[in-house]
Amino acid sequence: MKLVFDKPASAFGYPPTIRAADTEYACQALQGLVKIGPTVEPEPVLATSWELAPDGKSYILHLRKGVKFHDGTDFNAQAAKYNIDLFLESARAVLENITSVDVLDDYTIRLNASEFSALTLYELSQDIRIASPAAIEKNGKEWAETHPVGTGPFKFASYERNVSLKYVRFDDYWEKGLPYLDGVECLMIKDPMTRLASLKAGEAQGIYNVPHEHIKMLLGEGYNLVRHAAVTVGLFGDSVNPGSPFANKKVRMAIEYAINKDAINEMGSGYYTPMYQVTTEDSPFYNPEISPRKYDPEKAKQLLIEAGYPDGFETKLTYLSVHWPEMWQLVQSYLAKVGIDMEMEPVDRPAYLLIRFGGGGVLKNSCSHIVMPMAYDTLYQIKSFLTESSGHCADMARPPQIDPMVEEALKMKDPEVRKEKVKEMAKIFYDDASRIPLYAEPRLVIMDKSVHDYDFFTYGPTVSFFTNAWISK
Amino acid sequence: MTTYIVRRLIQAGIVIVLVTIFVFLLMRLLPGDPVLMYVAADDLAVTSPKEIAALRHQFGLDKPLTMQYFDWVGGVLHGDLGQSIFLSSTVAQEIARALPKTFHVGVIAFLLSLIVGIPMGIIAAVRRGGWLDTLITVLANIGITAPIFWAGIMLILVFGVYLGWLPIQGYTSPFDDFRLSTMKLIMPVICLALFPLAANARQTRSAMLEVVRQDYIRTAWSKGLTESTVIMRHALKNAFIPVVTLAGIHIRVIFGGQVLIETVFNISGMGRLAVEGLQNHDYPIVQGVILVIAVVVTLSNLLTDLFYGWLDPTIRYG
Repeated sequence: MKLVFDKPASAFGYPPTIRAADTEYACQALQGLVKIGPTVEPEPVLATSWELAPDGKSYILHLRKGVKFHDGTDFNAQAAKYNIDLFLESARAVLENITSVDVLDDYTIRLNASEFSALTLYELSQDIRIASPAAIEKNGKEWAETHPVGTGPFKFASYERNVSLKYVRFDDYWEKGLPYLDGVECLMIKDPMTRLASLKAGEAQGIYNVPHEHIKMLLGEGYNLVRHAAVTVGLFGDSVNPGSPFANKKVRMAIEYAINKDAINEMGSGYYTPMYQVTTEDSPFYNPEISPRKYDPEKAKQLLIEAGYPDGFETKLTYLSVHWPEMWQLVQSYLAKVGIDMEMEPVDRPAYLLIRFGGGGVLKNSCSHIVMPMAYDTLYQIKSFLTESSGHCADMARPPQIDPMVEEALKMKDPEVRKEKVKEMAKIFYDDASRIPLYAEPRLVIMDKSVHDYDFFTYGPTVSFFTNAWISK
Repeated sequence: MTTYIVRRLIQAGIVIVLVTIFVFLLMRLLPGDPVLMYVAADDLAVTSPKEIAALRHQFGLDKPLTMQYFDWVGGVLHGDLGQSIFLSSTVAQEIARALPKTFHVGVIAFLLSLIVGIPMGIIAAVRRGGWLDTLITVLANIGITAPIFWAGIMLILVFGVYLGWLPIQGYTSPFDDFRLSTMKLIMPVICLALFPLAANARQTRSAMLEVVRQDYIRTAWSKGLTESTVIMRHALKNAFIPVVTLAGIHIRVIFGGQVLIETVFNISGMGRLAVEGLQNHDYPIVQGVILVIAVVVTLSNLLTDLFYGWLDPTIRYG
């Protein structure tokens, strides 16, 4: 089966250097210990069961037996420890509470923590992939980055940078009888017309990240669509600056009332779900008590009057130039109707990243957008992007109670209690309007109707499994 | 002649050094941080300030600028073009991967532009005013004005999607599968050769028309020589001087400007490597690629000048 991607693979074989986009390429060969889906409950992969110690300071994981790496070596506790140690020794912001890993026997490990963290298993599922220690030790880190040797249903065959990554069926895969496919080839094609042409010419059976404008045509031709909310896009202003209009909560609320999110969704062919809080309606962390700020320009104008801006104000939006400029023009037109005159400043990625990662003072009375990955565990999302300690978007003021609440939630062992705490945080963000959520941006994958039983995105926006996939003739 | 060549090589060396300094400084003056580009390569990445600082140190980006430049130059003199920030490979490895593809496509396109373009120009000049001249002139004008990416997309749609005759994208080495390699090259080579072929045809026609009006050509005709002898032995060599100049320019464009072709046909050559390096602020990649292109351009200039001397013995180099 051939799939076409729009982004190149970079480092997809050495687990600590696998970034989110490369997970798409790595997940065919490298598996994790657990996986987590929409229920937010961990499911077994290379770990079959786990227990938390009574003091909460360690997890014991029981590992799957009879699993081989693609190079024929055994997966066992030493291999699991080796891989987790790679992460602990790296600068990755993953499993920061884990201090060490002990091997208790050939198929049992213990993760020792400085303190309990509710996100330990979640981070294990998202970031930790298991590669063959023998292959890494023999060939080195640089080789390993482009030669994944894991336990997955497909093993590495060849890689040509920016062109293709080929996997072939792993005959000794631990799920007997699987996979059905002889191989998976990931083609990397930058030009969208060429991607489409390769599907129509039969050179590929699926395309990732299809522009939404093409979906209707492709569905009409009998292709199948897979859709998953991958990131959430929101607006934020220079609210740390007391002289900025964005420092006033009523201004932020007015902006949300002024924007017609349904119109954005319509512009996006119906695939861009409007959002009114940090997560979507189908999430277990969704707070039903939050009354969404739906489009109401009159209310927006009233709030601006109360905030001391009866005639509106002038500001600037700095946005990533490749990020859907027509949508920002639509937002600009809605804000103009309530008196907010927003100048548009498209910038390239380096300049945009200064707003996202810079130390603050970049926006100067203006606003920008934040693109945040959707995580099944909303606590992970809030901790990684919306706390002050995350280092993201320093010009955005957060409610001061959020960081301590996140620390508190991380220590909660009862998932239901933690869920309620996250919902409380969602309400605080909503009340403060620190960040104005706009929509959930989907990942759209088009598949040829001859392909069946594929699994896209059930376990994450960059994770797909073709273990059970097959092609009909 | 030897003195001339040595002098030109020294000049080329100075130009290359100046180019590297210029590119080095320009990349660092552009707003943006390559480490941020790396860690935030996609919107789904989670990162920390600690990771960013560690990466900055790993790539030597926390050193003073002059030290960074001399570290790089020192590496180049030892054959080490550095480590890519964005890719898990060295710059030399990336160039070694990309250059043969660009070279392969470029050489065939260049030869095609000469083998087809020059004869077309000769025919048009010799049959001036006739239907062949008109046809060739119209085709040449289309070749010069048609946007290269449009031509590529049209070829893909017609020959790849609708007719299914040719593979749509990718590159296969001729040493791996000669037939597939040739099939995959047909469309990109045609697109790349289109403009230089058309330009060569027009330039050859124009130069030939100039030359055939000369007295010595009239003398050759009056001596009763055949058309082919008059054209090929007496006219063509003198008409070649401006064509050689144009060909020299085309070498630089073909080898330095394949990025559109490489993007449309998904060939991972030097053009794409350079553009992606620029977009990602991958300093070592951009510096390495520009260095290679600068060497190619200066050498092609030198070869073009030397070729003049062969074409026209009255040209002397001191």
